[in-house]
Amino acid sequence: MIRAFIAGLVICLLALSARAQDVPAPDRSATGGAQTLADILARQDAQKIDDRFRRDNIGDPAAGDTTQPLGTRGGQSDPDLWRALRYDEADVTTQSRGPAGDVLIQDGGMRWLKFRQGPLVTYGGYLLLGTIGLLGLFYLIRGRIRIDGEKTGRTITRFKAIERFAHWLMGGSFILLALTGLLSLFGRKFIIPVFGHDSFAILAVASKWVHNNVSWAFMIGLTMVFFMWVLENIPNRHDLKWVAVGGGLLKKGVHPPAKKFNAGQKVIFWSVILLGSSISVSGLSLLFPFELPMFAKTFAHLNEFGLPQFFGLGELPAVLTPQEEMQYAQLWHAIVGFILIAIIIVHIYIGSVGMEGAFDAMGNGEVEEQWAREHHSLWVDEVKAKQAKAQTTAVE
Amino acid sequence: MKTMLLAFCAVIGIAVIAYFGLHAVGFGAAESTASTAVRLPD
Repeated sequence: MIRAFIAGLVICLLALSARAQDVPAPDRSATGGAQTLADILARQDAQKIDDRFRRDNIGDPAAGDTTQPLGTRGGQSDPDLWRALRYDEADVTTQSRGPAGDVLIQDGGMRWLKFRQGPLVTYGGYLLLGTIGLLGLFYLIRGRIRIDGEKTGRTITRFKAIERFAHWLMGGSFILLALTGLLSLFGRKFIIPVFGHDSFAILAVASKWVHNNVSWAFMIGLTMVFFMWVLENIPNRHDLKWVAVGGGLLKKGVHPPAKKFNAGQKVIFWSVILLGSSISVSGLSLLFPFELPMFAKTFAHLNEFGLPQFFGLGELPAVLTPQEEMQYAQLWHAIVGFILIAIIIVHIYIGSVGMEGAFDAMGNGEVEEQWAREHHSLWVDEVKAKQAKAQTTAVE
Repeated sequence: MKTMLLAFCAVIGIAVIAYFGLHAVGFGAAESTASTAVRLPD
């Protein structure tokens, strides 16, 4: 089945690539090599055209201005210069010393805007609504996951104060970042029509302030959490058993053994660490505009590995204008943000209404012993063994 | 719960420190990406 799927995928990719190669080179003899009506119509139709005939046709800026023909600009005619400006090849000097100041024309803006207002908002919104919908359905079917056994009335310390502080520092800031991020993205579409431009302007300025400045708390919390919990989140053989029975979440009375963190929690941990780090890096790139470009380098590395080519995307652009770097950073920030928000919605559900006794772990740090035995039996054994050893040492 | 509230206060505290701190050291986007010659004073 999997082989058939892979074979089908490869055939589709080959067919697509063959289709791309079949496009014949347009005849531009009538215009002396300049663009034709067909080129203009194709561009207006958002078709991808090979624009090297314009991109590379920028004259010879190095040629002497009096010894060469082609008019007053010598080796570089006015159309040559405009094409050079169009493709960011001209030697521009401006009074503004900002990194993007000497890029007079770049066409990534419309692509970015269309993607941001189109697929990003649409599919991002569906992802979040779909996640909430599925959780609602899960709740209706499974209900709240109760503590199956008799409660003991005894508690075990699950998280120390510093661990809970780091968790809430990261969690509290993430909720603020998620809400303000969504407000910035969806505001134009959903808030302006209801509350008007003036109200949204105040909201947008406040959101920007919160988003920019609260981000530091998130990054500090993320770093603390990583160092405190990384060792206990390294996958082990018990995780396979946990996954095999769905963590016992789907069926009452099923409790696979787990240490301090079970496989589900490890998935949450690594998602938060990896996606949170990626969001942080792209966020820093947005926070300090043009100072931390990273997409051109990343694309170059991906091209070297052949990853985009494998998926039939061709080579990704390894040369980007500073503005395009920012556009990619914004899109990546939002895409990864959506995925992490969806994961965190699941985490919040299971840590609150979804499971009895789970919130206590991060509420006051003390969990009911029976809850701990059902969800982290191996960890309880470790804790009990340590306590027994400590008591023995104290008696001696 | 005290720890949770303390962490939320820390979020606000860090945000305020970040805002004033970064502006004090000249990290504002306006300051770092525009020359004085093209920016009119407020």
